[in-house]
Amino acid sequence: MDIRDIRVLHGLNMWTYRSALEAIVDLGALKDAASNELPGFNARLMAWLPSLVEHRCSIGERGGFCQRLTRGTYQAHILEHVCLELQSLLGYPIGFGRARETDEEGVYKVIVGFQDEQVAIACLYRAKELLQAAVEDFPYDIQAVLEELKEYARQVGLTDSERALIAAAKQRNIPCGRVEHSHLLYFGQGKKQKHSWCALTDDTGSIAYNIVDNRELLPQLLRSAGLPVPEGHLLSDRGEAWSDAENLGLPVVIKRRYAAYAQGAQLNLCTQAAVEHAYDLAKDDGYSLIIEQFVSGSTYHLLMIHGQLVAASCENSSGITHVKSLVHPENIHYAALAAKIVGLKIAHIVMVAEDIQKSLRKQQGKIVAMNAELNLLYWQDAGSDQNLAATALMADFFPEAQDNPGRIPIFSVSGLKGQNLAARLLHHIFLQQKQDVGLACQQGIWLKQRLINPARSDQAKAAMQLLGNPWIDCAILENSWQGIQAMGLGFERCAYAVITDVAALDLPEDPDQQEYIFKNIRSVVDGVKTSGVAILPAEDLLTPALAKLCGGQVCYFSLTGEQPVLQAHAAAQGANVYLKGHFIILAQGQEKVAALSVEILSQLDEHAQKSLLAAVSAAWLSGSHAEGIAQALNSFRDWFVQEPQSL
Amino acid sequence: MTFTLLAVRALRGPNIWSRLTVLEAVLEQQGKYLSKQSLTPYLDIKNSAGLSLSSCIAEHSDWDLFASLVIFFQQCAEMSVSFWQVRATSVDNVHKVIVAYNEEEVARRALEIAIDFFAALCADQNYPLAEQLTALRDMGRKERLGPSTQAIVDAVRARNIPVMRLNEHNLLQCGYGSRQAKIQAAETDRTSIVAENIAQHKELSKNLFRAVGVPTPRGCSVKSVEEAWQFACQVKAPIVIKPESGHQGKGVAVNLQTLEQIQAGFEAAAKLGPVMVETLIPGEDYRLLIVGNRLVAAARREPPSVIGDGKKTIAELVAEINENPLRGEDHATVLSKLILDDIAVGVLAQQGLTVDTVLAAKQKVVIRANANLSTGGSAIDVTDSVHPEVAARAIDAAAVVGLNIAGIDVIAEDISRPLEEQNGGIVEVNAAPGLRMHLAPTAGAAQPVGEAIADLLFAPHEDGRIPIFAVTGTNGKTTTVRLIAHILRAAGFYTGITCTEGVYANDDCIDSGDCSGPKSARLLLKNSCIDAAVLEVARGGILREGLGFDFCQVAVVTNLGAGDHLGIQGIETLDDLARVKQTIVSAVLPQGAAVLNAADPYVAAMHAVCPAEIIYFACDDSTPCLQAHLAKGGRGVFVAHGDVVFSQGDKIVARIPLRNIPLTHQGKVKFQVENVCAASAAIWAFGLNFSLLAQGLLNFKGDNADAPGRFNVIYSKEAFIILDYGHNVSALESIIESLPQFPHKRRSVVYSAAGDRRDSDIVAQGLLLGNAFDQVIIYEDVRIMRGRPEGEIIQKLKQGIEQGERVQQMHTFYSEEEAAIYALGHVQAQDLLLLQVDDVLGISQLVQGLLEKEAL
Repeated sequence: MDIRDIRVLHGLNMWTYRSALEAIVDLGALKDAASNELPGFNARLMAWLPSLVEHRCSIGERGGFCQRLTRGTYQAHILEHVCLELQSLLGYPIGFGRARETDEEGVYKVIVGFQDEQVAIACLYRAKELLQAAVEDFPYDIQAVLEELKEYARQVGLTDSERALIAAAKQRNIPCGRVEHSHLLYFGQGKKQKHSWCALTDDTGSIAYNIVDNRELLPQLLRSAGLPVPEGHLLSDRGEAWSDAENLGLPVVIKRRYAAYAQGAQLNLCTQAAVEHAYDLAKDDGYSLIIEQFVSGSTYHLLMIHGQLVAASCENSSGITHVKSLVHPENIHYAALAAKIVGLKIAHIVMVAEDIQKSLRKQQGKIVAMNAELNLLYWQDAGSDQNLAATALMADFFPEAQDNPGRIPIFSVSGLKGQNLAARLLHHIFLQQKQDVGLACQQGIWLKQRLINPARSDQAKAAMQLLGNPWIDCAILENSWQGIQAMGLGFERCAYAVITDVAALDLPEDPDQQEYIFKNIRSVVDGVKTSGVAILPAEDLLTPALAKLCGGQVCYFSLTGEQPVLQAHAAAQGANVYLKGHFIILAQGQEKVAALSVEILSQLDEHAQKSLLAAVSAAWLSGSHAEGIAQALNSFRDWFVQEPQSL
Repeated sequence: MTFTLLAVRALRGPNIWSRLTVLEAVLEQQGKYLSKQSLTPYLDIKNSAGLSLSSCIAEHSDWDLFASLVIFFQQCAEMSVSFWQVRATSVDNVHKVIVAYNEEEVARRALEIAIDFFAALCADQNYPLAEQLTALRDMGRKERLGPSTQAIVDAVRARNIPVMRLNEHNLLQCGYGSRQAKIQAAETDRTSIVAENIAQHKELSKNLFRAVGVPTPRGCSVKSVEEAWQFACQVKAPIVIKPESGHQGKGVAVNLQTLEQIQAGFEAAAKLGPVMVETLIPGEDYRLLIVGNRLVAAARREPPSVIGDGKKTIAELVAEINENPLRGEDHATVLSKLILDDIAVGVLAQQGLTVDTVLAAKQKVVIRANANLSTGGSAIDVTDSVHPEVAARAIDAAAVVGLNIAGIDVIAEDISRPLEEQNGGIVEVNAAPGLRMHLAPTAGAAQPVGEAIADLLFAPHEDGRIPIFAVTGTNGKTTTVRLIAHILRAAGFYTGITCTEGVYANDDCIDSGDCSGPKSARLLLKNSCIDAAVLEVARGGILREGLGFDFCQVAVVTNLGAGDHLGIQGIETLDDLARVKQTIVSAVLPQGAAVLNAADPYVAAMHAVCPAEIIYFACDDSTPCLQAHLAKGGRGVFVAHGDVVFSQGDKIVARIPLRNIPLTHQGKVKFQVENVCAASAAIWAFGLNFSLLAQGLLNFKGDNADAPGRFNVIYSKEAFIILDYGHNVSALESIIESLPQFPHKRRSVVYSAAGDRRDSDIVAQGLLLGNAFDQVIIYEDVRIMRGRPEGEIIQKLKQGIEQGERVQQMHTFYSEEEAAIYALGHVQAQDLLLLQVDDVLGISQLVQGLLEKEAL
């Protein structure tokens, strides 16, 4: 078995809405080795990965995949499932996988979804290795492999907190991901973006961040606002450690002066020996130290966002209990004050108290620490698999109960020939209307009116680059079918699918090839949100099939108003755009909303006219005024820019 | 002659001498007259402005000479101070020397040096003055803020926004309470930690640059020579190989084109860690400073170099440059010394030179590859030459990373042309950039970068201030403070108060005890929750430490009356006391106001020191001072026809009936009417509307909950019990004056006097009691004896009481609580009992307990 090539498909692609690896796998000698025909294979596989029993596969129930194994299935399919299972065991639950034959015998495409590209690729190679061992009955130390993968994931992958954030974003269908394999995560697109870094957010100030990790300054500030904190001070000398401890009252805590919560703290020291030992241990690292009263009781973790308590848990030997509804109002008040005093909008506040239902004041409870960098595991809800903190953070990032939180309008422009002109026209129209628009097309990437990247890059990357730009409020993406095939679209959902031309004339004759082109172009229409619109050429061959796939509205355009598809659509109150004489007619149902006069129309060939109509339709349906569109078109100068060959 | 230091205190806020921070030293002079001759060997010592010590000789007396030397010594330590004053005291050879300071520790040390210096002169000994002053300068450099931070602080202060240091590092608070902004070097509290993290990851930053069209050299990390070669083939241009986390030019190989060069470069860099490759951008090194979304300064940076003269060696040339006093060891001065360390020796070796090479005339030799200022690099200001497109890209780079203050490293042949035209690029963005190169460039104009950062922290209309109400006076302070705070809270301000019972932020008690000093005020003003502060300002704190704030919106002086605490801390007369208390009046902001009691001549006279509007108040609308003020169109608050009247000139702006102000007991308690007038005038000065004011006055009951121990009147079992904290002649007179308003047949009082008052004051209080009460219960409590022997307070009080005309019975106790219990136990119908409370909360609770048990 050989993995010949791996393509990383970002966002919407011909297989799925989400990012996926597409591996070309040559099964070689194993091409006919069905699982049930290899003695002991299934047993070995299941012994190594017993949790495969959870895979429902096409059968749709628990154990589904096992049934397929027993009945006999091919290695590419097994590879898909093993890769998914390895990812799952690393904490990346992925739902999507496919295995498909190619034209070449014994060569398959194996498609597996991923959250982290590098981890997924590592899992794919390990899955192949595991299968080979199972086939050939070699010993395989699955535990060691998992450990190694986990270590790798720790190095290159996301932390638990980051994964919780991603999961919460996905749950609300907010576009999100990593920026360039770093710990910078983005949520949302364009101007609507928010970021996190190791569970710190854009809003977290570096001064506040440093204050909470300064265990000398933090209690001073909190105390000066009247908040209950343990007494303590800098510990300068070993000789004074014990007398300091006695003065403060036993037991005491010794911890580093600068450190995050729970880092390098030694609690509950009662004897001189313990205190001095703690001093030696901590001092060994060369840190300056703080000695402080030890507070007894349970440890409570409160998460405050903009003065509101959004999650609270109690840490005890049996794990984590959620206590948000129990926290005494005065304690919430203290937590809110503490966050405000240090200047944190999002703060993790650690309280130690006998009972959080009573005011800290009534029970010698204290605020013992604060955190800017959140460890979201404190608020993981084992029952619902939800992370209460991550959910609350997302609610803070994207508060409105809107349909498409974090999304800016995307115009995905595709077709066989005319998509480039349509995309550039649309860009020009929006620029004239002073929109902060971005364009990614064959000629490069434009940020508003500035060409920021003249190089031709692959379209998924260009889309991701544009959507990651913090200054745009809409994006126009030219998507050729070849580009979709190579890299995916780079986004999952779009507001407008603009198809300029899918006519028979421009399609290859080979029906398989036609099918293939259709499959790629359709992913643009598949991506249309329910509130979105697909703009389609009324008379083209593939249009009826595409129209059926659209989850939102459809708008047809045509070089003639006489087209039956148009008329039927008008009768159903749909939007149409068509040519009539020298005018472009915008019609909603039977009503003609506007007629635009475009000077250059007569000089354009039919292809260019179709691109023009597609662009006008998209601009109109996204709320541009007819007059403004006409003005913009009359000021457009680049009608005849040479288009690179599309087919 | 010699000076002996008897006492020294630092007045850390506006004080009776000055608005500046000053040291107040009490010194005793001894010995013979000093011959000016003995100063001769020291006359050439110069301060940092180049002025020599001889300039101090002109001072007339030895005292003046001493004071001016303490200032001169501080100037030698690069402190910009000039104010000093000498004041005689009641003791002949003891004077107070007042000297301004910037850094307290430096001033204290300068004072010590001056004392030692004079002692040495008198003993005809040599004194190592120059050495001491060098040490003082170094101490100053260590104590004070770095030049970058100082520039920001200066700019913030120039906008009249207060700055406080929060720790020994550069963490500073600009502004007060909820309007504050914190800064730490060139970082503000709005600088995002995420942005800082991005800036530290060079690869990630560059990816973000590309995403927004900021030109940046192509580059990536490489794991092998092959990958590096592959990169070079891709870019078809010379490349740079460097360690990913390298600094100071270590392991950097530039302009590599052949496989051999790349191989050598990779191997060298790989020794220092992970390796990255970049396309080579030829050009010079520029640093652009972006603040907000504006380019505020740009400098071309040059690595440290020396220029030969045909005679000196490189080492000698370096030493010569380092003699410039502006070059310090680290970041504390505007320039840094050139360092001839291993790195420099290595750089020289690459050029075939050593430190001992004699350079030809005009031969320029670079002694370090990097242009960092901290290793002796230089910076030439080019702010005015930056092409707008270059500035726009630098602004984009800062914005995409998310930094509000950023230092952008640009490489370009010519900064006055767009980067795209010349293959220039932005290589890095730095958080918390150093400002030194823009503040004191080696050549070119300094740029107002501190001002730009100050403007980023505070919009043009913002002053970083929360309203501060400062209240002083002999009596009525706490009630006035509580009343003002009550009204502000009702108007939605998160209000902090400091008073004799503690520090409070809305309902939260932050501290308890007497908190009417500057420390408590500062504590409150640090609290970023507080929207408004009402501060009781006692005399002790002003004398001890100055004010805890720089300016207030409204200053209220309730009254001076017969005074209190006279004879303590050198405050002998009412004039002395007025001079102390008027410190708050002179600290009113120009757009603020002072609220002064028109009926109290000492208070009314304070208008002379007020830099802002005056609002006078008086119970009696015929008070001449008030009338004169109104006649001139001024504002006044007074009582007429049963209303509190607010008048501007002859125009009545508002009236609030006294019957709607429960605190005044229908206007019957005159001193509470005065307090209401004072508080209302303060609120009017602040500009709150009258309906909020009237509502606040209506809701303030003046009971134990609103103002514990401040004339709390309880009517129980047909008797009146009045709790009050009053403990001086004026307070007692006011209270006695109000007693007929509460119908009764027999009057009792529980009372004591504080031991730190003059004998005559205690006797006078006794006399008042004897004249006004049928039954007088006096007590002594350890808490209030303040150094007096047991029984003395009682004896002095008795001395007065016995002369009284009304007194029938007298009882003595040695505990406040016992006295109170006795008195409360003997209350009968038709009685009036005045319970003077010292332990306000304790006694209030006692009474509350008895009330609940219906024992009262």
